[in-house]
Amino acid sequence: MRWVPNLPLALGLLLSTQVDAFTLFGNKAELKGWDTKELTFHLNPEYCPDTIDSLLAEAMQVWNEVPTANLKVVRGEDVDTSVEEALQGQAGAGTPTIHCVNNISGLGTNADVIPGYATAVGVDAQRHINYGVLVLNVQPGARANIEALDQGLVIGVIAHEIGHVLGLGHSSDQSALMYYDGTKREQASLAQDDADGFTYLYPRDELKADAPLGGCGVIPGRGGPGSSWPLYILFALPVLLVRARNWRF
Amino acid sequence: MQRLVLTILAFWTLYGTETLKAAETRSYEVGAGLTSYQLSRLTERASGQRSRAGTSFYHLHLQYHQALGDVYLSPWLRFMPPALSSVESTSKSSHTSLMSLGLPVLKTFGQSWDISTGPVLLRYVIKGEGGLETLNNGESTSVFFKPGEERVAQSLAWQLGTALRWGPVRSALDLLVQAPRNSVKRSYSVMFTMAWAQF
Repeated sequence: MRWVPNLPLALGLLLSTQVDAFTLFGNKAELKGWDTKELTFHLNPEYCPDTIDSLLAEAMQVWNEVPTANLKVVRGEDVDTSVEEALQGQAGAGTPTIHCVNNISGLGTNADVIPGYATAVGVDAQRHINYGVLVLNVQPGARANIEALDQGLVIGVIAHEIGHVLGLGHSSDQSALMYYDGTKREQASLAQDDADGFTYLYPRDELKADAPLGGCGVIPGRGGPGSSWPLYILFALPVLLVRARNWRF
Repeated sequence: MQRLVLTILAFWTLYGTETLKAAETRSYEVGAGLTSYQLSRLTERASGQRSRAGTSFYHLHLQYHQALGDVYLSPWLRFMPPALSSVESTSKSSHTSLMSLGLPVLKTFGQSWDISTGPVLLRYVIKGEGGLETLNNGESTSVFFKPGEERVAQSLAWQLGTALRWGPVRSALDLLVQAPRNSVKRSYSVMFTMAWAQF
């Protein structure tokens, strides 16, 4: 029983709490996420590096891997909307756009420090996000030009900015993708804090409409009393199997 | 039609359970353990390097074993209270709780070893305090909203487990596969549990 005197200390350590956690984008009211289960980003490929397709795919994959979230991020068709038009809200609601900007200084951004940013996030009457613009720095000679940075860092930058468009703010957790300083990042990946934030905005509920029986899409269910029967079968299966092994009428 | 199928299945399940061979033994167990959540998926480092061990949560454990013929039906409940989530979770959030409910079929081999498999329901709750937080943003700072509501994500998983017994102590190692049919979202978690079994 020599451990008994240490019990209060051990419990204190176990029960200590820190509240470093994700935040949400915007400062006027708590925003909800996009009102969709598949969010399509459109790219204006002008000025973008040749590797932009794979960079975007890997950045989107980071978010799509979260098993507790029900939003899928996908790449849509290319567009020719200019960044100036997009920043003025002319890209159209529901269509976040991505732009590589070769004169990001002209937009009032420090080209040697900021490799990318998300802005002009719009909100509808129900506080759902319905607009967003993602800007990447390709300004020649700039230290923060994404073409001059390590690929892992660039994927992290793009994934971070996608996180903003999805509705997440910065995090005070240094391991989080949404931490404000990504210069130490070598690999794009989510921390539990990022996954929590994404799940908070887009919680997946496989007992309702989200992909019953382990997830094979995000097709909404029909609802009503019958919608839970696949789940019932899943949980009744062990009982039914045992029943079949011990058949006695 | 679905109602009819549901009704028939419900009747068959209940009636079948009633007519099963009489239980030879039943037991329950209580314990605690560690969940390594989402192996090789999430990071705990500023570099972004993924952690093979996943995110760790402590859990409390309750399980009931009902002998049915030569196998057991062994439902379990594992709960990670919010206060314990701050210990290992990189989120350091005191408002995240994970509850899992499993319904495996368990097969014993001798007196000391068993294997099990079955469906698991994972219930992940995230609750924020609300309020504002000022954080760095680019070359200045910005004010961000902290989450102020409770959101619940529920997902299904499949369990493959094994356990060893030493007298009344049962130590179990379970692999949980989330989204097994979705190649992108599929993730693996491991639960290690030490329990005291009452026969």
